[in-house]
Amino acid sequence: MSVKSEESSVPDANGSFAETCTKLHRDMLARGQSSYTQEELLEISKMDSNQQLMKCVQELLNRGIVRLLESKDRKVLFQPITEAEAVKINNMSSDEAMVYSYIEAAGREGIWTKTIKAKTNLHQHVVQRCLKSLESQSYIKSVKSVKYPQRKIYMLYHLTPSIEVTGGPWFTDSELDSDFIDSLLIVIWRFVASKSYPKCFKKGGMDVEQYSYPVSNNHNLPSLEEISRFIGASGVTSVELSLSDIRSLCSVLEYEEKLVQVDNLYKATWQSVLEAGGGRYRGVNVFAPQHNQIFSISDTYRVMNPLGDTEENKDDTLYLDSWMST
Amino acid sequence: MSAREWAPTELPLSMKTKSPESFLFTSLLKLVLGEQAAYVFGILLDHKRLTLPQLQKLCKMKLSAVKKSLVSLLQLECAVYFEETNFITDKSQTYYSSSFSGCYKFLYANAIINDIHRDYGELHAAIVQQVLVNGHLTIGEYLKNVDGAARAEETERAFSILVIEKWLIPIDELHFQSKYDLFHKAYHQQTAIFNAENKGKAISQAKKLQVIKEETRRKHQQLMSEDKVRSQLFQSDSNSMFPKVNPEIPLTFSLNRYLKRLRSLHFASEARHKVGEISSRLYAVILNRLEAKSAEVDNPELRLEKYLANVGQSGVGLDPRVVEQVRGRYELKDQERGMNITVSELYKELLRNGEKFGVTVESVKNTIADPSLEFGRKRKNEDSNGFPGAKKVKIEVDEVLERLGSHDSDDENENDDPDNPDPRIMSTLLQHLKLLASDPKFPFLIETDMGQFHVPYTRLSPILAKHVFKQYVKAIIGPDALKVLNCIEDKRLADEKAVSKLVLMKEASVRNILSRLLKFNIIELQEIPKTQDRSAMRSVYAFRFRPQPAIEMFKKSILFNMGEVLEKLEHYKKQNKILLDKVNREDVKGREQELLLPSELKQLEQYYEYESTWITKFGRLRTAIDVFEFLTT
Repeated sequence: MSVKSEESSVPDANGSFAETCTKLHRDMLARGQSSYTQEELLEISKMDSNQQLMKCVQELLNRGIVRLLESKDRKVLFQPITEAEAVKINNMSSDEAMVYSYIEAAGREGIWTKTIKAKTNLHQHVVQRCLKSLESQSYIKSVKSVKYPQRKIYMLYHLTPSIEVTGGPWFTDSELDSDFIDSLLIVIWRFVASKSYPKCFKKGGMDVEQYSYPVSNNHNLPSLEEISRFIGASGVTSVELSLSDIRSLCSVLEYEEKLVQVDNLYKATWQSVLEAGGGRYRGVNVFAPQHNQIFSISDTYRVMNPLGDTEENKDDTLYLDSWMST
Repeated sequence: MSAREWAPTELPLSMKTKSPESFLFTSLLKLVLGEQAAYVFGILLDHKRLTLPQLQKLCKMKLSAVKKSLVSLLQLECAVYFEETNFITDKSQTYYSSSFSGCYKFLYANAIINDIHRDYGELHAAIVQQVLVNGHLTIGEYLKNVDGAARAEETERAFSILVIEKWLIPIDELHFQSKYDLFHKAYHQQTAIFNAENKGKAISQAKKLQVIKEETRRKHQQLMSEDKVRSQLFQSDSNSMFPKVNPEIPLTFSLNRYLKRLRSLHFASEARHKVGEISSRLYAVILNRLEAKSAEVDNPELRLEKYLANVGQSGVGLDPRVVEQVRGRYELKDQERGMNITVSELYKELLRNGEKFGVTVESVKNTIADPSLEFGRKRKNEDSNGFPGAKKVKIEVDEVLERLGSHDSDDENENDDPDNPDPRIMSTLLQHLKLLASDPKFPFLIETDMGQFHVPYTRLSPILAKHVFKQYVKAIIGPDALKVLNCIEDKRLADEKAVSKLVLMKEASVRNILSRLLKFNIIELQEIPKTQDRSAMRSVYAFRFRPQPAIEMFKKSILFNMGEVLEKLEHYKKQNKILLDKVNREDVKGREQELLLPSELKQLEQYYEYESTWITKFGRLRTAIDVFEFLTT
């Protein structure tokens, strides 16, 4: 790969050497590949020998419109750079160009300032100065990473951060959007509940003590796709949610014991309906004492009031950890 | 006797701090038998196995007082004995150990009496009360206090019913003996026989132990199943309309029978929350039918396996595979002949006992929706492409009322004939059975053959226990804690970041919940080192949920809380001692309104309110013990 620079200026028999080089660069950009091997370049340029190709590549390298890369199997790769990009880099100081190249290489994932410092081997002040200069020229931007909220991450100005960095639809400005998630959870649960139990939320209560679908109706329960379609059609959110996002929400509802899976379909739990005030029999006071029933902790929603931790009722309270703290 | 003799008037603090069981049961026995018996029980519980002189030395009480307490404890099954003979000196010595059976009977006494009263009547409840108070009694003894031949026959009949339904069981000679000591005696005997038979033979230690264990198992099972008394339990009396119980045989209350009742109550209660009101009542009817024949709650085979796992020098505890095998055998027993139920049997049972459980043929009607009707109506509504107006709601209600009305008119001709049931009712009952059998993760019923259902007692009990435990976590720590706990259980081992990502919660909130769950030992923590030097700074901590130890810890906390309730009640009683003494005076009883000052009446009202509140709390806590003590295996 070591080609002497004097040889690069020797004119070609079929036209100017410079034109050949420019044509090769154009072809490389036109193909749209991010990088090329030596064999691929030979094919594109239709040159006869490697030596000829190398001369041409050296010229492009000198002009700053091709960059050298190394593949995973330690092969040399050639990356074309647009003229405008080359001008931009040529106007940068060598330190800035170096910092810029690492930021560019990090792509949509972005790069941490400490990593830049380690890779460039520059002093922190120098790196900071370069970053500041590049940021002021709108070449790069700093983004907040959901994964590492403390780190300062940089990426090219025109790039959109990847899902790993932004956290996906559940994050707004790098903060977990609990309200958004909770609203979606309620909507999904309500949709599945309406499909699982008929008239469970009828105003004034049900006309019979129990009104359930038979087991044979289980195939009518909603699938993940149906839930996704419902969310899409309901217009509850403008954010596009993938099937895996809907699956995550359904899993949360399963962890909350509000949904269960029946043959890959989703069914709401009767307990969740009762807790939400549904499934009540018309004219029956659910808060009345039920002497014929054994006490069940699942009845908490009905029989217990949340107790404030005030001094007033301290003596009337039992503490679960009193044995542990004895 | 060099020890200083004294009689405790107050239980020492150590009885409270030793263990939750010690705290609760000594507090309970103090109320029933007094401080001395409670103290003796506490000492026995502490030292596991003591002779009378050893016990007296530790109690520092008069020998006569120790003996008196011990007799009461033995009589009420709060202690058991074992007579051990030294084969070299040929001297025998009696050892005493504590037993929880009697304590549990006291713990559940009021619930037992209420249940018997509700199911059988006042007389039966009075008999059971007497049996509980005395530990055991014969019919002959009881009849001495009964006046009139008619009343005596009624009482005998009540005894017969209670014995047939296995609420009362005869006492045999092994009843008051320590089961573990009996097992150990059998083990030593079998070891001696084996050594004598195989003298000089080269047999490996493992093989030897295996043979001895097998023989011991056989002998112990034989000993426990020997029923010398049962054959003489009933008298043949051709004049009597019912089988008469031998008046000489002492009878005691069967805790195991009551535990079966508790199990049925908890199963039916859970079905109410998981399936629905009517399904749960029908389930209660089924459980009632199968209850007496169902598997023991306290699995005796598993208890024997636990004993066997601890003998020999290389005992490594109970092998989980053995537990699985025993459970497998019990699961098969759950579906034995006679444990199945069909729709027609449920229908007959519904006519016979339905009302007792609040369900009738009438209440079952229209409890299963017709999906074609439901979805048909929805489609009709959707087709009209408008928002639900008053007219539409009216149509919906009208439709249901119409349907209900049309059924009612048909039903007028029915008379709930057990031989010719209405096919619609049979179909509805079948749907309820199928609903109860529909969740494989929570099988209230299992459908074996077409239309044949059985209650999987062995399988369902631990599932219920784990579920109830999670509901307690939800009620005490919060719904988010349940979410995190379920996530950890699902992923088996998960770190804080993974959990927060899966439950879609902020890491700080998850961290807070995890620390609370850790505090109550609900989850376990595992360190995952990230660097070679296992630097704590770089380590990641993963969490896992193991139900058994978590439930055990929780149960102990609840037992302690129950002890606290008794302590609070006693404390409050002391605070109001003067007033209560006045109220209990013969001349004041019944004339409180006249003889008490208005302030005293108010104080008395407050006292009774406080007492009833705390007794209710005690009862509620006890329901947790039903599940966590008896339904976990």
